[in-house]
Amino acid sequence: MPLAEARAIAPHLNTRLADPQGDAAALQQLARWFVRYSPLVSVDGLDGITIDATGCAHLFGGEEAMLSDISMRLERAGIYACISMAGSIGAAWAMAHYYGQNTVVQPGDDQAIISPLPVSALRLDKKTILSLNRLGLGTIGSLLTLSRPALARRFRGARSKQVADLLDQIDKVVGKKAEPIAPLQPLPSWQVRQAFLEPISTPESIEKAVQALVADLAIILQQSSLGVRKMTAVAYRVDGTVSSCSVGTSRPNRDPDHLMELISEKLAYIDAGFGIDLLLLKALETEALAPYQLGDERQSSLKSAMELMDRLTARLGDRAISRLSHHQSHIPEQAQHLVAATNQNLHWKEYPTTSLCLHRPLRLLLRPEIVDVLAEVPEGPPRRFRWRRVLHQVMKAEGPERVAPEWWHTPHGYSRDYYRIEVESGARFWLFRHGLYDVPGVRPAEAVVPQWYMHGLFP
Amino acid sequence: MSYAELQITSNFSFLRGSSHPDELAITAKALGLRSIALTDRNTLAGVVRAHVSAKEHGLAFIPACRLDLQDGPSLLAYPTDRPAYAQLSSLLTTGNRRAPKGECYIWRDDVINFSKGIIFALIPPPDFSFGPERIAELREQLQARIYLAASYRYHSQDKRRLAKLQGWATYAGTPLLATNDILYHEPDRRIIADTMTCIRTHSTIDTAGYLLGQNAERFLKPAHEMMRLFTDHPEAIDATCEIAEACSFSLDELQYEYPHETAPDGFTPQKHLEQLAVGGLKSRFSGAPEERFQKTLAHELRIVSEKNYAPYFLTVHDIVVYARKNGILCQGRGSAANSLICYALGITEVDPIKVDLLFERFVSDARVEPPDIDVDFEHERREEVIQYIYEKYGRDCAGLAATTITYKMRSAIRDVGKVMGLSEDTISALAGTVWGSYGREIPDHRVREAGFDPEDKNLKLTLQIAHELIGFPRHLSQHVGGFVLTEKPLHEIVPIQNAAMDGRTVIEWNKDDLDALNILKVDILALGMLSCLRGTFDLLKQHHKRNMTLASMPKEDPQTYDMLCKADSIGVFQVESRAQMSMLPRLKPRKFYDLVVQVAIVRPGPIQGNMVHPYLRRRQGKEKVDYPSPKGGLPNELKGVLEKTFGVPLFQEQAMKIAIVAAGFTPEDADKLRRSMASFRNMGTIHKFHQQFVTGMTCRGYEPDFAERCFEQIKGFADYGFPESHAASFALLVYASAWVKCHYPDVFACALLNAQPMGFYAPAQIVRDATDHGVEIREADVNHSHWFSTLEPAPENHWRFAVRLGLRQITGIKEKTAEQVTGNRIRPYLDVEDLHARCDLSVSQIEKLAEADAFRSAGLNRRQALWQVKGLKDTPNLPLFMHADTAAIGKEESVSLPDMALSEHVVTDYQTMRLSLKAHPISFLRSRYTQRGIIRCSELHMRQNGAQVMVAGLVLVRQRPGSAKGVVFLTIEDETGIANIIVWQKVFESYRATLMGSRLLVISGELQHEDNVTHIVAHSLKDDSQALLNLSGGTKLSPYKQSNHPRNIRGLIPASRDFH
Repeated sequence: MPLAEARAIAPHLNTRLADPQGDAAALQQLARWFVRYSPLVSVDGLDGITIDATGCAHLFGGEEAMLSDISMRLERAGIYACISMAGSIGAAWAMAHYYGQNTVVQPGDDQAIISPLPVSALRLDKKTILSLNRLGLGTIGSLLTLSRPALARRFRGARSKQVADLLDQIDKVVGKKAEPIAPLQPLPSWQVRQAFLEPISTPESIEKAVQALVADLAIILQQSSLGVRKMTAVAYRVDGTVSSCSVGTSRPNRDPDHLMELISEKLAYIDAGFGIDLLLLKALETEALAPYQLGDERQSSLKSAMELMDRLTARLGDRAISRLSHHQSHIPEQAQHLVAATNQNLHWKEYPTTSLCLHRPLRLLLRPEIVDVLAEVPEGPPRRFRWRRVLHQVMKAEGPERVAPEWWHTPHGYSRDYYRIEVESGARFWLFRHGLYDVPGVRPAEAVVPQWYMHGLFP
Repeated sequence: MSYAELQITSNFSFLRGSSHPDELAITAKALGLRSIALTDRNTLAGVVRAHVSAKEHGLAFIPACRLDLQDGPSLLAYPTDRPAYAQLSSLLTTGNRRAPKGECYIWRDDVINFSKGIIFALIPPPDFSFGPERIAELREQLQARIYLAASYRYHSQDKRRLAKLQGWATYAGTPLLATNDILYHEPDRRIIADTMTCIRTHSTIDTAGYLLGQNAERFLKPAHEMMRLFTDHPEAIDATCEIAEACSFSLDELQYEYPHETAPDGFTPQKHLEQLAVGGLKSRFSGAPEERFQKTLAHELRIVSEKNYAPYFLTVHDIVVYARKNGILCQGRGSAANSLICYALGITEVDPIKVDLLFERFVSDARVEPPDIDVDFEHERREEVIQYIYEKYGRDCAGLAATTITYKMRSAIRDVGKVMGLSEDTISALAGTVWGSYGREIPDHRVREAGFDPEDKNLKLTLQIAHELIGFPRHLSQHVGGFVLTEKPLHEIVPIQNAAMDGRTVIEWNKDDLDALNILKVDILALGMLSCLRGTFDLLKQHHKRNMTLASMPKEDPQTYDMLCKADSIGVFQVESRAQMSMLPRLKPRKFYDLVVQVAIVRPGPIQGNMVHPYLRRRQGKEKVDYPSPKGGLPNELKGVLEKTFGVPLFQEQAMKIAIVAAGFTPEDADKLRRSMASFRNMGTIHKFHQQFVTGMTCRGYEPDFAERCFEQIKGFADYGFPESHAASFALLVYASAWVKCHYPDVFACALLNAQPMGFYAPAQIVRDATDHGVEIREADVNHSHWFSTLEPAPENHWRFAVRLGLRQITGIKEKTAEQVTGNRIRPYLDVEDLHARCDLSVSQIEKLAEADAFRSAGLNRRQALWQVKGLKDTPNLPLFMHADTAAIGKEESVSLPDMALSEHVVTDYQTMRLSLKAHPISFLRSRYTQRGIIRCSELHMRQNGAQVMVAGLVLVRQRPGSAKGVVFLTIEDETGIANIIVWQKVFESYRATLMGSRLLVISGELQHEDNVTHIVAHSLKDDSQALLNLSGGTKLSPYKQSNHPRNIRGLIPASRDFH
């Protein structure tokens, strides 16, 4: 049902955007947790998890106990689940989806317990289910009584049309046909560890240990052509508590010296307490980083600038360093924004290089300053003006450049008329009049008495 | 000093310009500009509108164009005279025809070829990307007067730029031309212009950045201001006047010429028309017609001759003759169609004298527009007629008129919402609050209902902009059937474009533009009912041995009127809708003119004007017929206008006539009023007319209330104008279809099924209605059915024939399949294998036949047939391989499948054919319902007025008319009939979810009888759709699906048809 229709029925419906990727990731994560029960776990479709529990059940006190352990733990985590255990994946799937309660199917009972289930429990495509229903073959049992050749002739599978072979599916359920499980691959982990027989606690020994770990991490990262964007050191103390510190880099980096330099700034935050018996160094975020070319000057100068920035960030904090980013706006002071130093995309390529911007000053006053101006009404340039108590006589002027307010932000704002001014001293200024005068027959006035401002200086 | 603005982009440069052409013209006049030129991008689509408005306000106007070239700078082109205009139009046609729809590819060489008599102005590139050498070179090549356009843009260095351009101009010998590169008529429209930019570039207002305008200076400025801006270049201002002076061409000069070839040699068209008409009238009356006919005809012919419309009538006649010759049923309607000439020529079957329609009323000096004849054709065969026209007149001289697709509230909300960065679901929800496609605003309470805060700044701005965008042209589309035919090449009058449909070409002007320039068009329209009647006549001839035509139908048959008075009108043209059905028993039509009224009365005009009830009361004699009259004036001055309708104005013509007679409008004013109503964009001017109308009437002594009501009615006509002339033509089809339904319901049902999709009801209701009338309907079957439904002899049946459903009723069956099945049916098919062996059919098609239970005659029920189909293989039908499969597998043992319950059969029937002849789904629930005290729909009329009743049924129609203040009308159906339910707003609010979401409703409420109309006012509703699910034996009920028409439904039970 489309959302609009649902809204027509229930206007106050609370809705959220679907997040299939998030769902899949969460399911994947849940599946990984199941490794505690068996090494062979896989994700099944959009909402299922398959576990090969062969030889594992006794570890949890038998099959029934394992099932109730799983269901108890899931329930505690707030996850509603239907769980079944059977001799084949097919049977377990059918039971979990269509039986209605958590069960362990004992060997030999398969057929009897599965027969009354609907044919959709066979994991068939919609088309096959529909035609089986049309034929009155609604349950698995009704299929089992029919002759196999007759069924085979009518319900051949076709990969290309995503039609399952009916007999295959039946065989999988009754366990006549083996079904392999494709277990989850373990995640690669970019982490190195060092355990200590004798707990360490002095800053020197910690730093030494960390240095060794950084070197190790750099080696495994190099093998995969990766660089660190974010790295954390975790210290497990003898009393069972944990202390950690993290650093980030503005570009992927795996230079052990540089990484060490960054993290040593932070090691002071690690409280050794009664001693540390395990140190862990993890690369939390990594990015591809090609091997470093020796002798490439551009690369190395960039590298050193970046490394400086990393060091400053590590020492002064994330927000201490920022860069100017371009923002597409006709309003002069809006044309640049401060962004975090790590931000790579500054949009300066979009900055127009046509006449429009070349005639704006490089630097603007932080805040436009009020000036007293003598100018011709309505659109004449200033003749003379007083700024910071100094009277300036205008020699040359060009303009106006008219900038209208951004109506979607300030619907009732005033336009600005900018003028480039050269005064007798040779200094050049950028002035604007805030608000337009009335021009009879053309437009009404925006402001009763428009105010003039100084906005920038030309070099 | 004077100034002409020669670079104006109107909103016909789609998604660019931000003012309507008429706004620009009016503003220019108010500013005292010398003249204006509209220069839309590669199109002349907006020039007529600007021309009309400029003419009205006494402003000189130059139809011009901006040529955006594929390989060079853009040029403004101003044609100086008629031949130059033809050149420009031909140039655009060339560009349009070689490009996909909506684009125009023009190269510099094309411009050179078509440049004679055109003055050009070159638009310098904003970044000065090429120098004056290129301009000089272009000037050499063009061999035409060329200027260099320059504007003062308030971009800081304007003076410097102008000086530079002046230098270029001197170098290249192209004088400077001052323009302001107009995008909008007033600065406030900058908001719209920015919004347009965002829509065009698919960006949002926050990300569009430098694409947006830096300031709002591209508006129309008066001469003195332009002089001030161009102080250093006064010659650039003078240049505008030079061009304006040189361009003397006006669109009024487009001398429209009718195609000549329709008159034989040696005859003038008028002479030829007279001959045909007189001859036609004679044959109509088989002998000399009465004198008053002759007199009327002579009178009409005289008017036609004065106006020189003879070729037009001949053209229509020619098309109609072609259709007749090829057995395509057609019928003319429209103002001029109901003339005696058209009756004599056979264009219409409505006898205008009998219905008392006066030709003069439609063609008079007051009406500057040309006469209007629309011809309806059978919808399946209209394309033949269209291709005939293209063939006969050639693509050079025939083209379809365009329709300007404009922003409606819903589309405006969608586009503006995206620009303002609203999320997709917010936009959907907002758009969803607009009921119907013509909603003009979203009131705050609806916004709140959709779950938003109407005070939100962003939302408010969005709605405000969207509101302003309504009526802005979005793109051009083809008119449903308006053809323009000319003697000289059409592309010299108006540019021609490719249509979206192959083999069609469309001109750039729409119907109103053509009217304004007095260019005649013929509407070639499609009408499903004509296909149905054609089928009816064929069947009558074939089976009942009756030769029928629209003309030879028995007139004024009382039985037919009896049937209509009972509202027994399912399938009858026009009067089958619920509103019409409830009107029939009240109006009780007894003669042809009553049908004319019936067709016209259930329309927004009379309803909004509160004219329906007074008319009914007077008709039933409950109220005295009197004519509203001014105090102290002529007592019966409106009698002539309103006599036929008991003193109540019902038709568009009457409302206009009242404006003239009672409100003192001049005929020109009345016509203007009508036209200003036609496009609601001009709502602003309505106030003026409103005042003029009401004061005009009250000053002459009419009751203010009556005046207001008359005006309300005129406003109603604006939405859906329904003139008497159309109603009369429609009424004839009403009568014809009702007559067949009354006397040959078998034939009617069969033809109606074959003409689907059309009309208001789905096949299920048509079949149901036929069965109620005693017609036997037989199942679709491989051994009996054809593609179309057919009649089979049924001696024991009252009507002597039974309808055999055609294979086309089965969803997904192709016509080719039906051909195969019928073509190879030399002996009956024995089983599925037999059919497969004898016909070249894909298995999936045979499967569809089996699923529809079409193998009964072969002794196979649905499941058995399906089981056999499942064993088939798509193999090439070669004799050598015929038994290859069987041999390998061997004889198959027989399999017994579970029997299908009848209820499941019915449900499957609905799934495959959207109807079932076996039973009605509700019948399986009846015993349960009886226990619960739920009665059958057929028992309703036996209950007393005011009784509390409970009924249950499938929801057929859900209707929530905008005019009915939140009331929902429901039609439900059970196995005995239908019931009409009214749900008042209060009840609706508390049962909203139930009402909107269910297929099967149990309704309890109060019964109301009035004038033979029965309905139930609902108190409570209950969703019983689950019961349907149980019927289907486990087949899942597909969720409720909203659709525009029952025939589109693929669900378990056809979902209802919803109207908003």
